[in-house]
Amino acid sequence: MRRPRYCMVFVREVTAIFVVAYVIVLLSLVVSVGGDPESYEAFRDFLASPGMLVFGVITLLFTLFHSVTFISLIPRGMAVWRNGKRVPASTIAGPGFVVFAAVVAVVLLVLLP
Amino acid sequence: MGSKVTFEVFRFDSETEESSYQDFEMEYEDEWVILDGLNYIKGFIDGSLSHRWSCRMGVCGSCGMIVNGYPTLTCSTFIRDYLPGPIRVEPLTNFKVERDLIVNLDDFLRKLQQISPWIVRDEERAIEHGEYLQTPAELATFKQFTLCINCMLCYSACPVVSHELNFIGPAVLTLGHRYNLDSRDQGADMRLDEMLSSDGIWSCTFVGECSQVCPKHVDPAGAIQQSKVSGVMAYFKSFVMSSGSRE
Ligand code: SF4
Ligand code: FES
Repeated sequence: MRRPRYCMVFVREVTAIFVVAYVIVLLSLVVSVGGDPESYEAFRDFLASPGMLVFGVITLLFTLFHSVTFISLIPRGMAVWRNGKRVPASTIAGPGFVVFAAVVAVVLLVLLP
Repeated sequence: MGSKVTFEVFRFDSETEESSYQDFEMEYEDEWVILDGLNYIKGFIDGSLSHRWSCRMGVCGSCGMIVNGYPTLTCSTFIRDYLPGPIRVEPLTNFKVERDLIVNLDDFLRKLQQISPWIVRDEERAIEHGEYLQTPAELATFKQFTLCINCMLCYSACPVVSHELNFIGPAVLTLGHRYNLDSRDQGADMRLDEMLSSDGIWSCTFVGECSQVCPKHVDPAGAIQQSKVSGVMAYFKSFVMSSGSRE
C-alpha cells in the first residue's frame, strides 16, 4: 500500500472483526452452559483445541491494538478548553488508559486463581 | 543555475481526451520550489503547459498538485527535497482534470455553498448597534479551523472522497464546524442538517490522511470527529426536549 495510514485504518477495521468473532464465541459458551452437560463439555474441549488457543491469542493482541489506538484517538474528537487553552491530548487520553488498565486488572484478578 | 533535475509532468488534452507524461529537464537553483520549476517550464520550455498558481506563498491555495504521489502545495515544497529526481507532477486526484495540472472545482464549490460557510443570524443586528463582540477565548475554540486555504489537498488524500462522490469532504465539513463553534453564529442547527446527512460527517471513517497532508495544520479529521460529538449531543438534546414537551 502506498499510504501507510490507509493500511493502518484497514488493520484497525479488521481487528474489529476478531472482536466480534470472540463475542460470538462467548455467547455460544453461554448458550452451551444452558444446555446439557455433554454439549457443555464438548464446547470446552473445542475451546481448548490448538486452533481456538491461537485464535484467542490473536484476538487478545488485536483487542489490545484496537483499544490502545481507539483511546489515543479520543482527544482528536474531544476539544476541551480551559482558560482559553485547549486541554492537552495526554490529559484526555491518560484517564482513558488508566480506566482501561484498571478494567483489565480487575478481569485478570477475577479470572486468575 | 547549477544542477539539473527532470520533471515528469502529466499532460491532458480535454478535446482529444489524451493523456501522457512529458519529461522536462532543466537547471534549477537551490531555493526553487516545485512551482518555480513548473513556471520555468511554462516560460522557457513549453508555453502550452497549464497549471494554477497565484500567491507563491502558501496563502491562495491554488497550487495544490500531486508530487511523487503525495498531495502537495507546490509553492511551499523545495525541489531539493526530491533529489535526485525525477520528480513526477500530476493534477490532484479525486477531481476531474480540465487540462494538464488543472482540475475542475465546480463540485467543491457546490459543496462549499451547501454548508452555508458564513455567519448566520436569526435576526441581523442593525449596523448602528455595532459589531458582534467575541472574547479571545471564544475565538480560540475555532481559530485553527479558519486557517484553511481551500487548497483541496485533503480531498485528494481522502479515500472516502474517492469512493463517495457526494461526500461533502474534509475542508467543507471543517468549515461548517468552524461556523458552528463561532459564538456569533446562530446557524448550527441548519448546518448540522447538512453535516449529519448521509453525505456528511458519518461517511468519514477517520483515516486521518487529510490532516496529514494539510499544509496549514487545520486538522480536518479532528474537526469532523468533534462534529460527530456535537451531532450526537444535538440529537440527545432534541430527544430530551421533545419527550419533555410531550408530557
Ligand atoms: S483543510 Fe487543509 S488541506 Fe484541506 S483545503 Fe483546507 S488547508 Fe487545504
Ligand atoms: S501559489 Fe498560492 S498557495 Fe501556492
